[in-house]
Amino acid sequence: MKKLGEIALGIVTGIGGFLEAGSIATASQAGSEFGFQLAWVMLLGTASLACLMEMTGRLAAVSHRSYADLMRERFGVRFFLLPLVALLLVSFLSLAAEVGGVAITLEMATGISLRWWAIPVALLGWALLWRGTFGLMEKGTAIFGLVALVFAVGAFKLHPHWPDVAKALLPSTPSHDRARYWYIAVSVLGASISPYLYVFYSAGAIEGGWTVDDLGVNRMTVSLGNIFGGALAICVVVVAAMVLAPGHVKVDSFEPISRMLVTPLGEAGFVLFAATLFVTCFGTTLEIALAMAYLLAEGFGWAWSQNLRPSKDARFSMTYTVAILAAAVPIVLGMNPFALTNIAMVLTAASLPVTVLPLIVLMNDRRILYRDTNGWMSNAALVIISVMAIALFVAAIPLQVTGGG
Amino acid sequence: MDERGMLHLVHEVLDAQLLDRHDQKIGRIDDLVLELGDDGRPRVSAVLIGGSPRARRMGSWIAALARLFGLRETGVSRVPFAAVRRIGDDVALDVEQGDLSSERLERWLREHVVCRVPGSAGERK
Amino acid sequence: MTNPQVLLGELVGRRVRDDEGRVIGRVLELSAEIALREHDRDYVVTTYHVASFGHLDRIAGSRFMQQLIEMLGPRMGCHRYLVPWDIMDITDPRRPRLRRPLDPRWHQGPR
Repeated sequence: MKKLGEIALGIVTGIGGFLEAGSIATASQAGSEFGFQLAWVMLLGTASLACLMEMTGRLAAVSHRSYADLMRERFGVRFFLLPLVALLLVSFLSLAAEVGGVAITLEMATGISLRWWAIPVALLGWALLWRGTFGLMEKGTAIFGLVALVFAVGAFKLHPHWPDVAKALLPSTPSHDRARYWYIAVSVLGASISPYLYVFYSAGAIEGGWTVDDLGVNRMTVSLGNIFGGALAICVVVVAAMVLAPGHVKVDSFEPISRMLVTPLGEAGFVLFAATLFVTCFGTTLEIALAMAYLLAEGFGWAWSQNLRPSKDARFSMTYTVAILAAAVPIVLGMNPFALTNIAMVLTAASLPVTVLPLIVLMNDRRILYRDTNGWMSNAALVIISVMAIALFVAAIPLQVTGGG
Repeated sequence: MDERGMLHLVHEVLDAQLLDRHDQKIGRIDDLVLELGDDGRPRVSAVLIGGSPRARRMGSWIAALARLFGLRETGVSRVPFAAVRRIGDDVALDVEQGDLSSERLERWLREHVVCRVPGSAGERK
Repeated sequence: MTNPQVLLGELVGRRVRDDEGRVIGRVLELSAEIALREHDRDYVVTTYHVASFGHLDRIAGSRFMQQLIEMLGPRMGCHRYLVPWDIMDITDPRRPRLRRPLDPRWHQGPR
């Protein structure tokens, strides 16, 4: 019964958790400029993320050590610096983008500039992390994240030709604007496969006290959560394709995205979009700040747990405090959250190799995983994802230059 | 430790998580001191935590940078290997967190920053 | 009179040369056992695990690459030597050397 509850929580978390500033922005750009065509990239990103999460979850459940922990322990502090620095930099940009996302919804709601909202948002997030437990955060963001289902409702009410959507789940090449197509593809992948996600998931498995008995729950949670989450992200593409593409509306801010749901749902669509953006970005803000803290704390052996009072893990608590408050600064200084989001997504995609390749060694080490090392299918998936990660590393910056809006 | 009671120094000891007398986390093993005995046989003599040993393992240029910024030897903890109580997933030492200079930052932050903020004290949330 | 001290971190991953100066591999692991003495139990080093990477040695600088190559290695001819503690001279940990010629009995097949 408890296991069913965990799986249900995982599904619900996946629904809202998958959407945040990055995935909403990139999915909207994909839909408005290329119709359904880029849906396959969403599918690829979701499937890859599911594999990576299952693996880091399995690592934590079997070895009782999280991914960051094992990276430091097996490869030493010198190698660990690579994923550490890359992840901290990229996560910080994403964190600033998410804070911006929350601030923008408050601007939409009140008319007061988002630059004034950045610090209050950061402080609210910090307060929740300081006082709240891991379970509270998890359940809270999951429940409130259900508002994101508005995209599914909107997509269905627009009556797209679903067979066309299904066809778009197969890889295709563009008929026009090649650089732009692949640039958006790279951003979508960066938005879907964010390293803070599987680092956080791994630490969360330790917080939740997972053991070998939870491997089934791990697989179910990851599969179902990502299926629902990915489907919802595809709904965003569908809505953008149906509403924005016909008018060739250029998506260069959250403004046109906020009006997308008005077509199927009336003014309620605008309100529900704002609520969705608020909740999903806020939840992601907490997640990224924590992921950065887990990474540093686990790598350097500090005391850490979201279930401990801050006085028991001072360095860990101060890390997420500094991270979340510093992330408000770019927004206060006037950086455009939309532009920030796009850059964060592309750099995330480029950074993937340093957090994916170590899994090749760890997932096949019998001294860590005993009988639960990767089977041939998991290894095949891992190799494909690794090759993709290296391709993204090579292509991301050139594409940002040639295809970035 | 494997079946024959052999301890693998790189796999099981180096970079392992350290715990104090109360099983609280107190950092990781950043280096091990091997002492060459009279017979020339290396003996595992001490555990090094923090400071310049850690900087040195990160890379020679980081170590040089650290020296430039005045990273002093006082931030290093050197614990005799005899203080090891247990070696398993973690390495448990018979020390108090308060006695370790490598944990200085934790204590300083706790005293001067964290405890000044409401809601920070207590054991569990 | 204090005994010479060596840091493990300076030794791990270094190229090991035989008594004639030829590179035979890199130090990947040290096995230690408890030696009971009058006052204490001390861990003393028993064996050095030296991994031979062949022509892949050039890219085997980091612990990650070393483990990756060893994992894929048996197919590429990677193997280990188990060198007894008294044969290895680690007074300069950055340049570990064998005191005697390489003994084929130290060869441990692909794991």
